[in-house]
Amino acid sequence: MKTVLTIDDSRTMREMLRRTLEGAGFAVVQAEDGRHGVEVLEACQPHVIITDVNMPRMDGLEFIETVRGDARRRVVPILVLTTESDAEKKARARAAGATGWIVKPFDPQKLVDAVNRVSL
Amino acid sequence: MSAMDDIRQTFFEECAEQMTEVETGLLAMEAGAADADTVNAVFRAVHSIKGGAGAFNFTELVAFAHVFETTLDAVRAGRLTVGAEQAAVLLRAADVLADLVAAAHGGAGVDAERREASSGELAKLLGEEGGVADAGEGDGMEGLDFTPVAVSFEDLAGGPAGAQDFRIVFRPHAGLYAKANEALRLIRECLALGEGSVACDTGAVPTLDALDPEGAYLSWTIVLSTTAGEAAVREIFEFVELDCDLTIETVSAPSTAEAQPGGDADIAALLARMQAEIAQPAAEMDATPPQPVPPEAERRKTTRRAEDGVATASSIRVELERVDRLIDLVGELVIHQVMLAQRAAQAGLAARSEVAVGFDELEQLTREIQDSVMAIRAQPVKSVFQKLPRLVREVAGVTGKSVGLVTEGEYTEVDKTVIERLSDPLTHMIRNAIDHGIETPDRRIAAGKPAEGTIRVAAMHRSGRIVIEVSDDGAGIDRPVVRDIAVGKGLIPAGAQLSDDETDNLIFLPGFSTKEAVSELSGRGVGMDVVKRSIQALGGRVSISSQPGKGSVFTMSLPLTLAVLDGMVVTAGDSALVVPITAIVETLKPRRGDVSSFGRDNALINVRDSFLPLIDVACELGYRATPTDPVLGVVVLVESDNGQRSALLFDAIQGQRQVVIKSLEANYGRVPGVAAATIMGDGRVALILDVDMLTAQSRFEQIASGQPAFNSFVQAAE
Repeated sequence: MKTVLTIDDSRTMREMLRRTLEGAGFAVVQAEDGRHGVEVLEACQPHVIITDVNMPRMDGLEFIETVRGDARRRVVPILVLTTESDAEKKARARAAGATGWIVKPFDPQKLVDAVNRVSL
Repeated sequence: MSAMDDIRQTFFEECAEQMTEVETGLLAMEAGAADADTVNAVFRAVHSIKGGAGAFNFTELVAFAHVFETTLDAVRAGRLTVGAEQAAVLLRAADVLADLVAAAHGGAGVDAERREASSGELAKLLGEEGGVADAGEGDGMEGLDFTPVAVSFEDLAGGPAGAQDFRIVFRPHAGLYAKANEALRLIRECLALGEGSVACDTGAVPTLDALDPEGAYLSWTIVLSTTAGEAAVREIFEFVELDCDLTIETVSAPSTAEAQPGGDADIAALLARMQAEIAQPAAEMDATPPQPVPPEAERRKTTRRAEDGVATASSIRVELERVDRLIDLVGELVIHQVMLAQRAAQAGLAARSEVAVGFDELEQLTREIQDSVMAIRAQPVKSVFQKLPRLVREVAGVTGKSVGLVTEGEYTEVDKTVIERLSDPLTHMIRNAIDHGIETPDRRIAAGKPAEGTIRVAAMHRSGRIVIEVSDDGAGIDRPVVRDIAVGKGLIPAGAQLSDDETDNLIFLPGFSTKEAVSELSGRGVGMDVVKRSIQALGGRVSISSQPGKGSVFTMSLPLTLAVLDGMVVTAGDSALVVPITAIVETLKPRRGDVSSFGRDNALINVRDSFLPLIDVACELGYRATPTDPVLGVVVLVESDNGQRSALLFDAIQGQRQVVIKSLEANYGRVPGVAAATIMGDGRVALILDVDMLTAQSRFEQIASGQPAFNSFVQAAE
């Protein structure tokens, strides 16, 4: 079973992600912000990471940079959750090392497709 | 669908938390005390609401949150400076947002005009500051009508009637792989759109000694025949378009045999090779890191992070039901501990014996457990106080007064149930203070006061109770007017002599309302008597003190919890009863001359020249058929919620004690005159009296209610 780590400070979002992904047969591990995400990565090796951008303590972009700077787990695909489809935000996510992005509110099927796509 | 309903519930819970965050942050911004973190937190909160709302299709909420968020983003980026004026706009927007959330939750819809006015204001803020996207000066509607429209490029290009042929040249940069993207995946996606062929150019691969294992040396040419259109093809490369050289050309004639630059065109072989290539980084991840041992410093850093995590994860969510069960059990524990101690005493154990000392220690521990468990339910009054700024703004707006709010002691903790029921009386008191207390700005200036009035709400602990003071620096209570109204409404006789305090307290009488025309705010058909009644229902008391020209102070005093009660244990017949201390005014031993009988079994007692109905409780509750001689008993003077005083006759007073409240309704059934029950140290059940019901249902009911409520008071004063 593939494991997905989702990082979002919104309980609503975490809940939706969890239900959607578990419903599609993924194991789901959750974190509430970037720093928490980094801690969780110490203990688990997800196949894909989905992260929000705006979060307290450590935002999504900083989280991605941290992961990409870590030789042990830099090859993990990271999808960014973003409310806007605007180009500037995407460019910033890309510059930070995001593999791709999902626009919120997400369509459950599209989310699962995106995860399947990047996790090969 | 119940799963979705659950998430919806979570969403609204979260919205409530986020609105609190927004309000707190905006108030800090208004006070000029906001740092970058605060602004970020406010932005994030609005952003989260928008995100969640989108998932549930709350379009109005999403649209408004978007406009709000855009403005906050400008604040965050430093493009917009927040002064008093801007803060006011943002606060109004927060109010609208809160209402939209409530509307989405099934509440009343939001006045479209107000919503539009607010988003207009927000847009205008942006406009003034030299502007971002949807700022507009017009009618303030721009932001609202924001609806993303999907534009189909295929349609513009004439429609994907037939298949089109594309020639895609794709040369990834090393950065593409660094972001965990894979050429194989992208190529596979392309081929999934239609039919085609792939050729790999290995010409750039250097010799082994010059090869960077993480470099990018391969490029591919894909010839694809698809009906999906160019946009769909570009979409596949959307994530990577900056990390590769990509050309997508339309080829006029389908020809798969075209241009297959130097190399193997066998797709299967190619894919196999690519598989092998990508297997390498994957293996790297699982195996030892390619870098030499991670530096010591790095490792230390990660350990510290983990510790941070431990330190911050300092709260958990627990269902209220579990806590209540715990409280219940601890209540039982207290009762049994008292029982056990009593049995030990009865068995004749010396007070200094080891067992007795052990019981003392046990008692102390039990108390501590009880206090700690109660503390779980305790919450800071902050959650109630946070709603006040908005209330003050609204009331001030409607009354045309200028009012500032100061809160103190918002971290004072009190039981959750008390908090929940505190909101209404507090709201009403503040409305009243602004509506009736604070003067209009010109009158304030004329009186030599600052134009802006101040409402101060302070919470504090005082001798095991929570005290909440609502004070204003307004005109104070206009005693002559209050008096006239009370006389006019027949609440007091025309010639009554009242002290200042007594006059002030007239406003708590049922049917009293100082404003002849019930104003839109304080009015609503209820007066301060309702406030008093709801506070008394919580086992609390309310009082007022006022200084003409300087303002008034309302003081509420409430128990910290509704699970235990301070009571006076009394005996009536063979039973022990508990009278809540809050209801008791005084106790006295009646003298023969003070009691006058009338009718067959009725009596009045003269307490300092005021005649009160004397109720023999044992008789009233049916413990015995005929009243005893009052002189043999003890009289407890009680005041019921509506200010009426009565004298309750008991056989004896045992003493004051803290008792654990057990619901009679939940365990047995409702008994008129009895509020609840408790279990005494000897294991017997004692009923806790409902003083209100008891006095109201007594045979003196007609007499008592026939008298103007303050008569006794007035007579006493005369």
